[in-house]
Amino acid sequence: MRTTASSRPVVTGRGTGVGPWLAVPGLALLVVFVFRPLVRTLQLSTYASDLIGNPTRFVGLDNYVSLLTDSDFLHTVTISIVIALLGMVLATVGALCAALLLRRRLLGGGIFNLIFSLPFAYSAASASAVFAGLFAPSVGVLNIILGEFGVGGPHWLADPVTAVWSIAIATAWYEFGFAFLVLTAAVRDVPPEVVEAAQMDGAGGFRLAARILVPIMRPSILFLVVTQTITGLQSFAQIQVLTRGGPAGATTTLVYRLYQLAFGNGTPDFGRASVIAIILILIVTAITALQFRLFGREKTA
Amino acid sequence: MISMDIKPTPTPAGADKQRRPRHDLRSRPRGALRITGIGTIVRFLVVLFLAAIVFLPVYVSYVSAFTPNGEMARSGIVPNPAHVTLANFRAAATAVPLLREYVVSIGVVTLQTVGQLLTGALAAYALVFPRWRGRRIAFGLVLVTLAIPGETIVIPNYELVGSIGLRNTILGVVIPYLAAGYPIFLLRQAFAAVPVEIWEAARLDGAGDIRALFTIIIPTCRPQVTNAVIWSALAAWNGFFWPLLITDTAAARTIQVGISQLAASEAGSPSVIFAGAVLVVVPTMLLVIFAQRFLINGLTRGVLR
Amino acid sequence: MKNRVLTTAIVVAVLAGAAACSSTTSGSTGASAPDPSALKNAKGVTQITIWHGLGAANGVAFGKLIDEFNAANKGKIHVRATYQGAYPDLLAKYTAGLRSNSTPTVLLAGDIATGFMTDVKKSIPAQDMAKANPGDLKLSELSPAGRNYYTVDGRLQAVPMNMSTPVLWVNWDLLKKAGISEDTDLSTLDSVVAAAKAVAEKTGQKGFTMPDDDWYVEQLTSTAGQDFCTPDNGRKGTAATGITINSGAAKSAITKVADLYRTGVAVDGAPDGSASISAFQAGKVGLLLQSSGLLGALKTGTPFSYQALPFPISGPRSRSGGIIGGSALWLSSTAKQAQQVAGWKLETFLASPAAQEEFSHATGYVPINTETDSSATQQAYLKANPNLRTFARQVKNTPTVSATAGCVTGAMTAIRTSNINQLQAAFSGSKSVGAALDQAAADAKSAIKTYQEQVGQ
Repeated sequence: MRTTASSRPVVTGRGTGVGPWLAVPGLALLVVFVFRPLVRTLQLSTYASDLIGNPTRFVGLDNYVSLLTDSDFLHTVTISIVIALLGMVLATVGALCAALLLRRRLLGGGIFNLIFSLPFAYSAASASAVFAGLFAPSVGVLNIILGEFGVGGPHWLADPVTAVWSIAIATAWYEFGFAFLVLTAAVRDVPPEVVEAAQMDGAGGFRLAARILVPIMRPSILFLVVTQTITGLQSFAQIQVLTRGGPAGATTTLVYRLYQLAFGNGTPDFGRASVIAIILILIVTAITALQFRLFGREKTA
Repeated sequence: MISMDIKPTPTPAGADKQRRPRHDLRSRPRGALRITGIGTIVRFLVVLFLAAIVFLPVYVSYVSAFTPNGEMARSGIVPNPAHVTLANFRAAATAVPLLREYVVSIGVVTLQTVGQLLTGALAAYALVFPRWRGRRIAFGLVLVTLAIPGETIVIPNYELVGSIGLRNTILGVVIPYLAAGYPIFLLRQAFAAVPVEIWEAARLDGAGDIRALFTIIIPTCRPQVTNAVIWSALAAWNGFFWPLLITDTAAARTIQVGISQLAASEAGSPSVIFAGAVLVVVPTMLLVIFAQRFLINGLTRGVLR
Repeated sequence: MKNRVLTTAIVVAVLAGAAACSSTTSGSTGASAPDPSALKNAKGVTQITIWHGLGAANGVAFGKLIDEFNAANKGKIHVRATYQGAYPDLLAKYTAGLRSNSTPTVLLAGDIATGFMTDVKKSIPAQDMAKANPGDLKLSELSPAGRNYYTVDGRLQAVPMNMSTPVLWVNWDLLKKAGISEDTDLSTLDSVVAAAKAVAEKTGQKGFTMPDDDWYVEQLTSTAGQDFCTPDNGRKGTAATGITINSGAAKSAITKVADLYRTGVAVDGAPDGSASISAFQAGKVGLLLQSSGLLGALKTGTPFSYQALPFPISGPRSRSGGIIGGSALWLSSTAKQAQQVAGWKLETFLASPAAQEEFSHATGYVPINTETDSSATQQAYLKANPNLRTFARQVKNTPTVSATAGCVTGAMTAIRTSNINQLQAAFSGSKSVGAALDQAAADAKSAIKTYQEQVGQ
């Protein structure tokens, strides 16, 4: 894209001022690989496609209508939100407890800190592979361990209800590491004077955490709530590796439906897949707008 | 954005607006802590319980990776040391060309990180120091990209990269990500914090824009640049959706795609899947173990302070 | 300024969009099959590729066959095989390849892809290759059931590589407890239903299970002697328009099975079949409908006497039977002629009696070459493995009619998904069987319509 260099001379310094042009490589790449695709997605969402996905003719809002009136679509939206929220809540609450409990010195604190950070080392794909081994039927390690405690484990990925929980658990575990790192930083940033003043007033343990620490850490917690929800909405690797959207469509989220429509069913349907993309953009934009409202505009300051 | 393993940092607000010196909470004088006994034991037990849950997948995957399939079913949670074997790693590397894909991933990480840092530093410089019309709009565009989920724009990129013949090439894997909004944003915020006098002085000494950027500005912002490198490298290493779509053979397939295929191919042998997972997380595991403090202090905060 | 940036962005976008549109590949649909001279005239080593979705032990066995072929054709042909993940991923890779003209010489595609592969017209029908290359594969040697399945519009489209077949697995210990002896006839659906009820009544265990998978509904339809799709399972020149499971013999067969679930005689088998397998292996269910491919899993750790019996029939024997599963080899019509002939040599080798025998022993699949049976080692092997003999015999005895060929439509994946949802509702009792089957039929109709619109574009 063309960025217009100022006709005014650069305020300070000498030279001809190539400065503004340095933005061109980065911005041009963003235009070609982010903004162009946005426009193209909007265009594709109004086109029918042939057997290998190429757009053929303008069909107006047909793709939107056929997708939104599909009886499974509501389930797809609901399950995406359920998985995102379950993962976010489990990860954030768990990490918050861990970070708060490790605020003061504890036997083995260093090792616990390390353990709670470990999930951060896993990508969505590698974490999912680990959980594939844990959840596997009959040979799965989780049920073997549960068996040692005399508990007959469920068919994790085979039952429509437990499959949703399994995906949420894998998602939460994978999100836990980052949440713990963020919240540990937040806990350590709490001014010691504040804690000491509260302790003078007799606040200890749970009350200190609930009344003093959590409110101070609010920005970090809100930040996690927003970003982990968005990450959860984008879940793909977990579903591709663990359930492929099954059983019987129970874990088909928006992104997975997009993948199935565009790439995973043999007959690519870029039109309907683009409709899903637009819907996902709208949802994420709404959440991001909410984030800006919650945090004010400091981010761009 | 690519698979978002690391997200933009929280905006500071309220109590911690200005940067504070690091407090070592462990060494601060401790007040009246008479209830230490029972309270600490309970606290320890709760932490232990939480840690056991979080650690379980890691423990199981490492132990199973080094023991024959079904070892846990036979020997229980603690394996028999006599059964330790590397067979699962061999089986994993035979089922899926993991080693080849490892090399591809290293290439992808290198190209993508260098690309993002270069385009990011140049753009950030242009957005901060020279004054030009449209600067704010350009920065606005960068911010907009932060809110767009990467999965939603893959179809047009898939069409484009395929049509210019880059399907199943390493270049095809990295090309949509040679610039990314977040590193530009990160570096822009860092550069904006550099006193403008430093830049003016460099310019008055006759330094051109490029020289000012690389010899003055970047060295001044070393911690934030390191953050940007780690963010870009992790995003490149962890990327999954795009490489899955755009690659067909091990020649351009990344390790993340490899591990997902291993999970599909070896569904009946969890130990082999675990062995693959152990291999995949080696670099990031080292990062967490040896740079944990840095991750807490740098990556997740501080940048915007 | 803002407007100018936006305008520029849109112009760039439209240009790039136009570039993407214009790069649409035009297919050479009417490509004629090359003869052996194409390969003879080629210089050097002819490089070809094959993509497959065979993982684990199957993948290892397949890789071994490829190595054997490469060794035998050293200096002439070299094959590179690539595993592309599970079958849906494999197909996704293939369509991506179609867009950028980078498809493999040979694609080993799953049974369900047959409709799409035929409609997309990027393969040379096996029939034509066989005619142009009389020295290679003899189509008459291929199993009639396999030929039946992969024949569309009167022409064999692909060469089958492996076959599985649905069977009835029986826990004899449990059945005997219920007073059913080993010489009881379990060849009809009614007899199986009666046996299942007896097991549930007399042993306190469950009588019946199967995976909640549409494949078994398709089997219940074909073994009732009914086409799954109208007209003629989409095989006689007219594309399928709908499914028939909500009418006739199929409806009554499916209802009989659904009633087992609704009355508590059957136990839920889960969509991936895992619950059905673990219940059977734990001795908690007497009768199990499952693929022949289960044999490997049962061989270890099944602590009772079990046996595979032919899939129960509910229709007239002359036109009822199971539908094969498995995968087949599709030869690219866009590859170079020398590569096409080399690819055909590869298919000839993979379908040969020796290769089929080797692959069958390693994987448990039924050989697709009828000549395999005439080898002495195969005869001895079957003698030692009576269940394998049952599989082979069932495939051999299946009448080759349109019902047992199965439905061919590119919408099959979508149909299966919507059918499973309705099936589960019917089995759990949350919907009447009739209403669920009617809904499934309506969903299938719209899925086929969506697909046909894409075909017509």
